[in-house]
Amino acid sequence: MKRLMVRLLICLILLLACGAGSLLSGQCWIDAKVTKHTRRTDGNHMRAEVIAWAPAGTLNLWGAQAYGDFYYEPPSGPPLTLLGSGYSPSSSEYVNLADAFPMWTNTTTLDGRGDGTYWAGGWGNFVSSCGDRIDGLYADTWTYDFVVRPTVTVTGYPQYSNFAFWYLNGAPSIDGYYVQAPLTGTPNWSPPANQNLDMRWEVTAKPLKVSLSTSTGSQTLVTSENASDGPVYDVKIVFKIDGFRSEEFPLHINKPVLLNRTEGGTSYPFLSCPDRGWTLPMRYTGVDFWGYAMSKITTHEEFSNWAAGNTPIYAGWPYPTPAVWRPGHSDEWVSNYEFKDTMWAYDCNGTWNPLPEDPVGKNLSVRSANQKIYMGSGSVGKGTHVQTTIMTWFTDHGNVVP
Amino acid sequence: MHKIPVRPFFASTVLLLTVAVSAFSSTGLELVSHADQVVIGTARSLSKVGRQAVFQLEIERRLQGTLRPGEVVAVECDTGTYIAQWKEPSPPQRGIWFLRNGAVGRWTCDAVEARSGILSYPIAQQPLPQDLKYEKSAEVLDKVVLEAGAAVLETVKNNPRPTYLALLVRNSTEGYDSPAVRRLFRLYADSSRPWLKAIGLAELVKRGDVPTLLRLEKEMATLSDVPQAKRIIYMFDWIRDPNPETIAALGKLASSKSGIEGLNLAAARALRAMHTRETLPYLADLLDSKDLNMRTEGVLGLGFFASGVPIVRAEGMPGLDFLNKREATKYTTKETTEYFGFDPSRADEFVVFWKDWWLRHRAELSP
Repeated sequence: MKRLMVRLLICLILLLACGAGSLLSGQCWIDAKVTKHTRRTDGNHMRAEVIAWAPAGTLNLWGAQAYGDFYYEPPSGPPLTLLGSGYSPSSSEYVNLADAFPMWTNTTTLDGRGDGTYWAGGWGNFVSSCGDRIDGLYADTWTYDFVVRPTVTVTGYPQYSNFAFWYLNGAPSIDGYYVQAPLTGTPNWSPPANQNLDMRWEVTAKPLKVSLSTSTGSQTLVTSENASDGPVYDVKIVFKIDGFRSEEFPLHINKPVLLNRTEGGTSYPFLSCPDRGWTLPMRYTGVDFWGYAMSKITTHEEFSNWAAGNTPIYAGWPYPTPAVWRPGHSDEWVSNYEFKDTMWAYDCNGTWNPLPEDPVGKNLSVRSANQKIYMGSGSVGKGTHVQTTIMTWFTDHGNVVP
Repeated sequence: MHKIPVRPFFASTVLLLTVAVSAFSSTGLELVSHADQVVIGTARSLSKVGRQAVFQLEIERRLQGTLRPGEVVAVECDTGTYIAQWKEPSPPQRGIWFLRNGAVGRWTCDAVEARSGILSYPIAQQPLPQDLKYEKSAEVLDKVVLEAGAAVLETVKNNPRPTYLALLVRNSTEGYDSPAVRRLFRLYADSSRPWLKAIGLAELVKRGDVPTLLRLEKEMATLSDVPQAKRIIYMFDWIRDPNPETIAALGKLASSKSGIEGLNLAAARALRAMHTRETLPYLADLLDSKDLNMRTEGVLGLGFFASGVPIVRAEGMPGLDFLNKREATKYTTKETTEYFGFDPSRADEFVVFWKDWWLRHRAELSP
């Protein structure tokens, strides 16, 4: 309150001396401002500065005064602690300003406050002689500023302050679906030469969902160990230098959630010999946490629990070979979103037990099996399990449940 | 190709039972772009030597290339399997063939679905109906699709049973759209065969065809027992053209009272994927839905808009571009970032935030 009153008083004096319209008065215009910032001066100190600015090379005599404050805010938030306060030069002094003129500084030791936020604020008055007149400008920049903090970026995405990547149940990155994120911490200040900086990474939220290649140094590789709890950025990471920390860097870890069978349910006569076989064409689309269809990614199936059907005479039918669907094979991934799965049986020349010519179900089953589909890998036991079905081969059609 | 064990040909192993077998097929675009010659003709003396189908092809017409009507050329096709895929001796096969220059004196054909034994697209016996006629200057793939489509329509005219032929021709249009293709699928959609109607509607929805979206409720109401109709709902994932007519049609479907399973949600999800300014009133309406899934779409959609999320597209899914390539807008704030996404454990809080956000911005953002 005291400071505010001082400011108002000075302002009033200036206005009385110069007149309200004198801020831009003829050729004696005043272009001045106050800026402020805080910065680290070495490993353990912060310095607050208030700087006055005026056009370089001016022929006028300038005078200025500036106030500055320096606060510390703990990680838990307000209240703030005043670290230093002052003004310079005194209101009676006049100086010839250059482009930038440091008016006031204050330095404090980080000691035990590494995780907090440091603020600097300032305001200033400027006057200029102009012939027989004195013009004045009151420049209030009494807003606090964050101290320069270390920042975190992802390689390839330097302009973003969060990142999303994939979890494929422990399988490695594949087909452009990345399960790792390379993070870089940047101090944003120039440490003195030969100073050993203590740089650390810390997972501050959902630490079990990721692992770090290293918790020290300026870079770390984050690997997903589990998926997020939904379409949210629930994993948070910070980078610290000498205890001075970045803001939390949010991560979202997406995953394939389920498969939609976008086609299937109808067995057709096998086209090349319709009276000697059938085909059940199916298409599938993977769906992610956000409800969106996933584009091409290596996917595979595994069979288990084989059981004989009710028609022993057909027991000699061969078993299928588990499939792998790979991007880049248009007969496997048939579009950006869909891969095809075909169940079929045919015997065009009738050397095995012929299939009934009437494809309308007679409920003569040959065998059944559980089919499990995994996205994100072509290897058995790898990738994200997205679907289990029971497949049954009948003599005249196929059936997949659900 | 690993899915079918490659084994020496032995005559008795002709029955194949498998799942997930690659059909060793190509899209129409691939077939046309790889072919030196695209011709209509009849294959005679078709037989199999190892994996190769070998035959004499008598040219009837050409759609692309230099072969002349009446010419007879030797052709071989790799079927990808040693197993016999047709009855022997094979009757003559008339169809649309895709040929490449092969060894001296022989052409190589790219089969349409080799492992299914389908070497060519079908061709109608009768002249093309008026609805499917095309100009000589038409795109080759359009010619192929219309010729083969005519064969489908001819087949189903006298046969009510679903035929794989219709899917085969549909598959030829994968990744391709043109007025000719839509013309064919409109004929499918107008068919008296419900299963064919469903296939046609699905393809038109996939292409974001506005007239189809506008009549979809009525059409789908007649298809409740048709297995092929389930696909229609999934095709909303493909609609990403944010023109105002499409948005309006989707908005209508998102609030549909038809009770058709999945229709509202599919339309809402497409709106959310585009989240342009025109979508906002529809997305905001979803916040009042009784269905949590619909409210979620509203929350996500408004958040996507405020946070400058690009339109969600297939090619950007591996890199999660819609999340990683956001460009902040003037509506991006600390709060909109905090409420970006949807935390199921704080569902009501998210809904309330975005309802309030919409109240504050509705006047300036409503079209």
